[in-house]
Amino acid sequence: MNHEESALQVRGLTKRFDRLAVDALDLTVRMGEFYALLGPNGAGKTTTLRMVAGLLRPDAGSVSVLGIDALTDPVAAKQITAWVSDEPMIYDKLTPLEYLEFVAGLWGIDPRVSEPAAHDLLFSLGLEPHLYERCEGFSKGMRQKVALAGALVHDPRLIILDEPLTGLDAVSARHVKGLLGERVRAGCTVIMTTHILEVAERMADRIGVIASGRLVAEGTLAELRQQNGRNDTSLEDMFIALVDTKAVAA
Amino acid sequence: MSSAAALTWFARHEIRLAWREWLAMMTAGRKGRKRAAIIGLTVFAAVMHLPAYAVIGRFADLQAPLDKSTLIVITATVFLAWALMLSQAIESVTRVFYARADLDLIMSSPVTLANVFSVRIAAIALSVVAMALLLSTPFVDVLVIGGGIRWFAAFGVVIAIGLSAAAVAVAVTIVLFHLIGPSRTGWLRKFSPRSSAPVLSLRCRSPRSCPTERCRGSRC
Repeated sequence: MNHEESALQVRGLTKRFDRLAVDALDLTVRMGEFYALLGPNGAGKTTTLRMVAGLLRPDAGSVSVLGIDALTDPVAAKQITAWVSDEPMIYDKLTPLEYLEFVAGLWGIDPRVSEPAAHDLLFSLGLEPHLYERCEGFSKGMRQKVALAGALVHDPRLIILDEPLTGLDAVSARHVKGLLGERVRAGCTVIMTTHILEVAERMADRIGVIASGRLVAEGTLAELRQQNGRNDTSLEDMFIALVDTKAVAA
Repeated sequence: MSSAAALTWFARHEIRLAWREWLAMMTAGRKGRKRAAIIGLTVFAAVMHLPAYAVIGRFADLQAPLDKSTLIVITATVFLAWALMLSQAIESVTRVFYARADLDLIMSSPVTLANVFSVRIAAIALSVVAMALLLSTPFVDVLVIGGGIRWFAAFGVVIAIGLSAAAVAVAVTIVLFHLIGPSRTGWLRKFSPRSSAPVLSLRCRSPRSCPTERCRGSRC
């Protein structure tokens, strides 16, 4: 697969803190794909995605976002990318609409253009009763939804989400999943880390399992089952088997 | 968006946030207290003229050349005011750059970071100077009433002190973070005098908000 066909191509990505967090990782995500990145705590998922989003400088390797080298031209790569962290940052003293207007401004979008999109996004996430309330009183789930709306307001082509469903109730989680599904159907690429394996099982086109900073398995659910040698096994069982094997090997 | 337009737009955002944060601080976050806060501030400013008169009233007639003891008193007063402003400026730096924790959002956007940080530093300087002017006005008033309009020049000194305190605060914060990292800076807080408490209360709320990357491992 060449750069033009892939939404994200990572080669030899390496990052070391006190220990090696990401170890010469190779990862390719296709255009228009919903890709779930799974792994135990400390496996290097967040560090990988932070490097892709331009928030961390890798020690080695390359990152290509829709054919743009994200390390040599980070501005162009960031222009088409959205990042949502697991700890959503929104300004307590702004309303959701004001926050979305600010985020759109960061991407250079005129408020007159971004305002209808902001309304639509907040409506689709069930936040219409809170459009003009300041975010300071919002629950974690509501903050997560506002942050997600902020990430989508500039119409990104690559959406990177780190644990977007953590802390959401069932209704909110459904809103978020619905919105992400819509984006994928519209041609966006979504990369998401999650500990909720049913979500990966149900939503992801392909799943990657990362352990100790390396990709230990990748494919569709059926392909992962095939690699695991058992057709009836659940993703949870496969995940535990893969991660345990890796831990034993390490 | 042009660079100038981007700067103006970001400055408006910073001013809006700073104003709302300040108002929330003054009203303890309660909506109905805005008027009470304004009245309280006005009364406070009026009442401050009394201690100002008691402390500084006798200096209103001061003429050059000054004797050594007067110069020492003035220098000490200016230094004390500068230290207090530095403390406030460092608190502003930590709040604006770290406590808001919006660096991820800003750094993941295509915006020019130099512009954003310039505006933020300017906003810090502005807030420090505004607070300094607010507190010093009763003292300058007393001097102007007692000694003439030449004392209006004292506002220039206050602005200069505020701006230099803001500049030093930004430098000290950056140096501390780079030298010892946020977690060790937090540890040092326990042994710090009150005036430096804001610097040393720097703690990384989240490893992700630390721009130095020092705490991304297990230390934070």
